[in-house]
Order: sequence, then C-alpha cells, then structure tokens
Amino acid sequence: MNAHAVEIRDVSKSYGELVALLRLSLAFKPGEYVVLLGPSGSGKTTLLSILGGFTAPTTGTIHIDGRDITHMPPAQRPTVTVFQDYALFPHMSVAENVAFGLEMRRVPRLERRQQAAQALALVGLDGFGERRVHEVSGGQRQRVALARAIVIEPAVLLLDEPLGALDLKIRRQMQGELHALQRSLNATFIHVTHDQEEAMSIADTIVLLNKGRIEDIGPPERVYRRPASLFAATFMGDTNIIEGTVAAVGDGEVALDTPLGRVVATSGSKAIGAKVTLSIRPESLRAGKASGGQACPLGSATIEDVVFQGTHRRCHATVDGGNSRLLLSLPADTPVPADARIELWVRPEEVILIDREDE
Amino acid sequence: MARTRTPLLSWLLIAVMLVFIYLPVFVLVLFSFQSGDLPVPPLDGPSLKWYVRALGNDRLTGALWNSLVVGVLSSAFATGLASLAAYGLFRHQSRAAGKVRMLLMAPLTVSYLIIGLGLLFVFNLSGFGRSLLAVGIGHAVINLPLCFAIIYSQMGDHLRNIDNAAHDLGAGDFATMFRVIMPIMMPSILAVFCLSFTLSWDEFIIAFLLSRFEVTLPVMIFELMRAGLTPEVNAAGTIVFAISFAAAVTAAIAVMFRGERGR
Amino acid sequence: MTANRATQPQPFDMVRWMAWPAVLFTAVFFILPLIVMIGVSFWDRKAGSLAAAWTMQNYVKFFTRDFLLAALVNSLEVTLLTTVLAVILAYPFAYVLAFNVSRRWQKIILLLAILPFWTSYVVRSYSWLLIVSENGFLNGLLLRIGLIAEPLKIAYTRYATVLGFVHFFVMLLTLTIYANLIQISGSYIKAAQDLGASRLTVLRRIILPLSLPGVAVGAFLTFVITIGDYVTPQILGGNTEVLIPQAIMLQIVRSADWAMASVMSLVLMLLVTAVYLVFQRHLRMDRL
Repeated sequence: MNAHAVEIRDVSKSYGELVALLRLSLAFKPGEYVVLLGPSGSGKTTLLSILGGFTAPTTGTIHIDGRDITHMPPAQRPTVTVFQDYALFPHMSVAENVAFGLEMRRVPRLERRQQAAQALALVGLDGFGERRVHEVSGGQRQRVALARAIVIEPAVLLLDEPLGALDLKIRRQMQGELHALQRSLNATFIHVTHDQEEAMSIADTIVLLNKGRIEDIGPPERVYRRPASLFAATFMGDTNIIEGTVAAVGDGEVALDTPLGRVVATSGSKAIGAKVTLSIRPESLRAGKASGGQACPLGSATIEDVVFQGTHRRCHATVDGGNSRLLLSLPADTPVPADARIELWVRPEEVILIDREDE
Repeated sequence: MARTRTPLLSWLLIAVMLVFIYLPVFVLVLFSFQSGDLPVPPLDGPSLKWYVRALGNDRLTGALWNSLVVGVLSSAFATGLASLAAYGLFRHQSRAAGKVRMLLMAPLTVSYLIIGLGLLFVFNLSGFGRSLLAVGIGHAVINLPLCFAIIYSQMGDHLRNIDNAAHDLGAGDFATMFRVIMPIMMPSILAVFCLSFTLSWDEFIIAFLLSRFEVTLPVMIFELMRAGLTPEVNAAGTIVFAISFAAAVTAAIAVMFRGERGR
Repeated sequence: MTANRATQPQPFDMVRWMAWPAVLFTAVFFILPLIVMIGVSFWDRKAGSLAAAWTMQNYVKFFTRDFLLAALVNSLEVTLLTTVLAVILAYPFAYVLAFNVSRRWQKIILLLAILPFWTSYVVRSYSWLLIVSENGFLNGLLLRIGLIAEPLKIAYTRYATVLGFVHFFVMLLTLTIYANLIQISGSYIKAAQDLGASRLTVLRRIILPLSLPGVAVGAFLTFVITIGDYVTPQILGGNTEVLIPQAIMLQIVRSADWAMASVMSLVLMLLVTAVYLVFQRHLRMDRL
C-alpha cells in the first residue's frame, strides 16, 4: 500500500570468487533514517555503492519510488552520495561546490546562489560561501558536502561513513544535526557506519550486515535488546555468552540449565532439551539481593578486577564453583573492592535467547 | 641528536661535490666572456664579443627558434594526448586498460638512438623524409610515455571520488572533464608540459637523425663544435642554459602552486 | 523532486575513446618503426642499396667482425665503470644531505645540485672537453700551480667519457638516492640507536639494506641510459675507442648500412632487456 521509497530486491555482488553481498532484499519507507551497520568487509559500503550507481550488482534490482533504477548512471538517479573523504572540488569556492548540482541542472545563476546560500544556512555554515575549500576545517567540510547533496533535493541521501574522520565531540554533535536535518527534509537517509553507538543514536532502522548477509534488521532498541543472532548480540555491545539447555517450559517462561545454574528467561518458545545460547548484557547482571518477584538469582561470584569508567564500573567476576567469568557493569556509586564477594541476579526479561548456530 | 657529530666533514663533502657538479657550468660561462680566440686559459679580460657573434649567427638564432617551436608544439601535443589517455584509462580500469598503459609507457625502455633510427627508416622508406616536423614527432614519441606516467600517477582514489561526486550531481562526461578534472589536474599538466619542453629542448640524437637543413639548438652546437672550438659555442651554451633554467623555474613554481591549492 | 531530472538519452561515452589518439600515435610512430627495424636487419645489402631479400648474414657479420664485437665489449666496460663510480660518489653525498643537514639546507643544496641538469647535454660534454683537453682548464690550473710538469692526456680517452657520464649520473643518482633515503622512517634509526647501535652500525645494518632497492633501480637506470648514449663518447672519447652507439652511427653516416645499424640496435635492445630480466629477479629476492 505504501510506496516503498527504496526497495532492494535479491541483490548480490561478487568479484570473481569473492562474494561481497549475498542475495539481499530490503525495503525502506519514505522518510526513514536507515543505518547500514557492520564490520569491515561486511558489504555495507558495497551496498551503498550499488544504491548510488557506482557499482553494478551481479544480480538483483533496485527500485526507488517504484521505478527500476538498477542500470541508471549516478547522474540520473534520484540519489546523491556524500563520500567518506567529502570529495569537495578543491578549485571551487564553498558556494560553487554547493551550487554545482544546480549548475548541472541548468538552474540560472541568481537562483543557484540563493539556493546554495539556503543550503549552507541549513547546515549551519551561513556566510561561508566565499571561502575556499582548504580554508575550512574537517567538520565544516563535512557540512559543505552535505549542503551540496541536499540542495538538489534528492529522494535518497547516501552517506558513506560521514563522521569517521571527526573528533568524538564533533561526531556526537553531528549525529544530532544529521538526525535533525533528515527530519526537516523528510528525505530517506541511508548511512553507513561501523560504529554501533553511532547507529543506535541516529537510526530509525538498523540493518546489521556481516560477510555480505543481513544479521538483523530493526529499530535500535529492539536490535540491542532482542538481537536476532549471536553476531548481532556481540556486535551491538558487550555481552556475556552462556550455553544452556532447556529444562522446563512454563507460562511465558523458559527455564534453562546453564553453568550458572538455573536461569529463567521470558522470551522464546523452545522444546525441552533444546540447546540454546544465552546472552546477558553486563548492565543486566545486578549485584545484591534479588528483588522483585520475577528476579532470578545466579549465585555468588568473586570480583577479579574493577575499572572505573566514569558512569559505571566495569568488572570481571568469577562465579563460584564454575569456570564462568562474567563481565559486569555496576553503578558508579557502588564501591566494589577487588576480591569482594557479591550476589548476582538478573531479570528474566533481560535474558536473551539465541538459537545455536554455527557462526 | 647525532646530527651535530661531524658537520664539518659533511659540509666539506658537500662543497667538494658541488664544485665537481658546477665545474663545467663554471668553465662554460667563464670562457664565454673570453676576449681571446680560444675558450681555454688564460682568460684575457671579459668581453661580450662572442655573445654578439653568437646572436648574430643567423643559423644559431634560427636553431634557437626551431628548438622553441619544436619544443612547445611537441610538448603540447604529447601533454594533450597523455592527459586524455590518462583520464580515459583512469575511468575505465580493466585488464585491457592495464595492457594499454604498458603499451603507452613502452618507449621509456628504449634508447633514444634506436627510436630515432626506427623513425628515420620509416620516414625515409615512406618518402616522408627528414624535417623539423619529423623531429617534433620523434620528441612526442619520447615525451608521451613520461607525460602519461606522471599524470596518471597523480590520479588517485581521491580524484576518483571527486569524479564520482561530479557525475552523481548530474555532470556529463564533458562537464566533468572540463569543469572539474582538468582544473584540478592543471598544475600537474603544466609541470609535465614544462618537463617535456625541457627534454625536447635538450634532446640531441633524435634531432640529429631526423633533421635536415633546419636544425635544433643542440644539433647546431654540435655542428659548431665540429667546426672548431671557439668561445662562440660557450656563448651559445650559456644562452641555452639560461632559457632551460627559466623553464625549469616555471615548472617549480607550478609545483609549488599545486601545493597551495591543496588536494 | 524529480522535476529537474528529465531522463536523458545515454550520452556518447567519449571517455572510452580518450586513450585512442595516444595509442594510435604510439603504434604508428613507435611500434611500427621497431617492426621495420627488425625487418631491415634481415635485409640483404648489395652494393650500397637495400634489397628486400631475407638473409641472416648481417647477424653473422656482427658476431664475427672484431670491430663490432669490440664495440660491444667497450660499451659494457665503460657502462659498468660509470655505474659503479656514479653510485660510489652519489651515495655519500645523498646520505650526508639526508641525515647530516637541516631540512631547509637539504632543499637548497639539492636544488643547487641538480640545477646543472638544465644545461644542454651537448654543451655540458663540450664543457668537460674544455676542462680536460691538453690546453684546457684543468691542465692550465695544474701546470700553473706546479703539480704537474706536462699536461695530462685525458681528453679523447675513455677516462674523459667516463668523467662526462659520471658527472651527469652523480646528479641524477643523488636525487634518486636522496629521495629514497628520506623515506626511511626516522623511527627505525632511533630504535636502533636506542638499542645501542653506533652510527656506523646503523648505516651498515639499517640504512644500507633499506636503501639498496632504490640504489639498484638508480644503477639500472644509469646502465640503460649510458649504454645507449652517443653524445658523450663521441665528444669526449674521440675516435680512440668506439662504443656501440658510435658504431651504429658509423653504419648510418659512413657506410649507409642500415641493415647493420638495425642489427646493432636490436642487439643493444636485447642486451638491455637481458640485464633488466636479471635485475628483476635480484630485486625480488631482496624484498623478503
């Protein structure tokens, strides 16, 4: 019913023996902020390049607003790419760079200048028009590249690791600005990054790629809390991986036998005896007496080392009687001396179950 | 650090080497001001008479002009062809493109004498004959590979993204080449042109083989030398040096200018 | 949103054709002459004119005539001597520039050192003649200060030729070796010194091995250019000894024996290719 702004059908890309993308199918709604997330070699940049028209897919088609654009050259596609190194034209001024796309569309000079000035204002570079490219800082160049792309009002804006070269503070700031920009333009942004924190802070939808396949796809919170695969669980953040077997299945609950003892989880319907992988995030392992009706105690553990991280303390702890070594994230105001013994418990809804697979 | 250990010895070595390197230049220029008849010691009082003689030598000034024309035209030709080829091969990467690149750079591996001989045979057998045009063609043959190699080497990944960006924003091939690529590559292209000119200006054996009555400067000087050692050759040589030096400085400025524009 | 973007017909992809002019030019004026030359080398020379008959006799003549083989041997000797001397002189100079001089001076001295590149090659050879001839600059100086009693006979000998060559290549090799040396990361040297190595050891065990590939390339370049050069041996070496380029020119100018000139040119090309192939393997082994 809704026309999908971007539709990727069965796209694959191989370079001889090397398979970069394996039969991907995706659909994005108009006005979505999509983040393609994954480690190097996951195929995210290849996919972006195919969307932009710089690489031809080996199989499959790309549709934008219902039109098949698979074989259209970049100039004619309703996409614009913001490149990783910005690719600003060094011999032109900032304003000339921004107006370039309009110039190619034969927009008259006066109108071009106005629109370019507006675009620059939109990215916070009001008045920078006459500067030369080498006179502006890295972060500013990034905005110029953005302005150059948005001024021609593309249906889809493709961003290739746009924030990679920036300092942490500026990166955080730009994340917010990109998000706001996308909202105000109501365009579809497709943003490639390897930084899961960045992905979580700006995306409406995260597409997690690994070795050319989709590992998971969904809103940031869902992908974080209920990852679809082991890879997704470990990539989205630190986690503790434990193997277990289903011992009992109850009313909305599953009990599992694990090296930590009996653990209760609320997700998934499994058969008794099935082997399952559990993922428990460090912040889900709580210290002290189990409180709340549903709490699942995990026994005692000895703290091995503690690292103060400002907002929390990162600890490793060994569970009694087992070889399990757990990563904990304890509140900063809890003093935790090394060798201290603590009680651990977890909320069943925070125990993530993942099917065992070979990955 | 250890930099101050033997500065004196180092400077001594540098001085000795520089003396060795400049000796012929020094002697050349010195004896161009010879008032006697032989460009050998003793130097009898400075005189400009040989410069007057050299500049009055029509054949010499004619050769100077010929060298200039051949240099500029063959360099412009080689640079133009090389730039086009470099961009074309840069845009279309493939195994075939790699072979074409090797073909274009092949003349770098062959001695000028052999290139000149080959052209001499072909021109004679075809009735085209020897001429300044033949010399120009010969110079283009030796300069094209070098121009191509240098310009191509300057087209890196950064330029590819810029090329892609221009196309992405709607520019056709023509617009991309003339509005974006060429302006960015211009300092390299100019530098390569100057280098090519310098090589053509100074080139002897191909010019010797392929020219007839109208000759270039190096051939002219060779003729003068054959006729006898006089300070006129010194004067001519010094003039040649001055012009070559000016071209070299122009190239250096072009390189520095590129640095300022940033990449 | 798509108002500005009318679907254009696919424009003529001229980029595909851009390399063709250069390729055609190279094919006609470089490849073709070489092919013609190969053909001519097999032609029969009867009474001064060339008949289009195929024969191997030119090659036979080359390898049996003492004069021509001698030119080959002479060329090899002169070239090897030049290469060795040029490297021996250029390396210390480049080393001192790269490591013992401040950055600012490096650029200035380097520029000074290669400026004479822009004197005409012919003119420079002529200048050396002026310097080394019997009544020339050098002898005049040495006689004046009483170092020698009789003028040295350098001009028109092999030594003058080598001198002219070495002068040119010292400039070239200083540039290339220097460029190579400054690329060697200062961290290697600092690490070695930190671990107790003396300056000499650093040179011997770190700098020398790392710069050797660059030196090898420079030496190869020297070899290739020297062995094919006509000007320097002709002007400075006189006719006491004939090198291959001079022999080739003699075939053209004096005997109009194009066939023989072709044979010698091709032998020269094969020689250079052979040296290149040997070098290739050597370089590869070094890159461990």
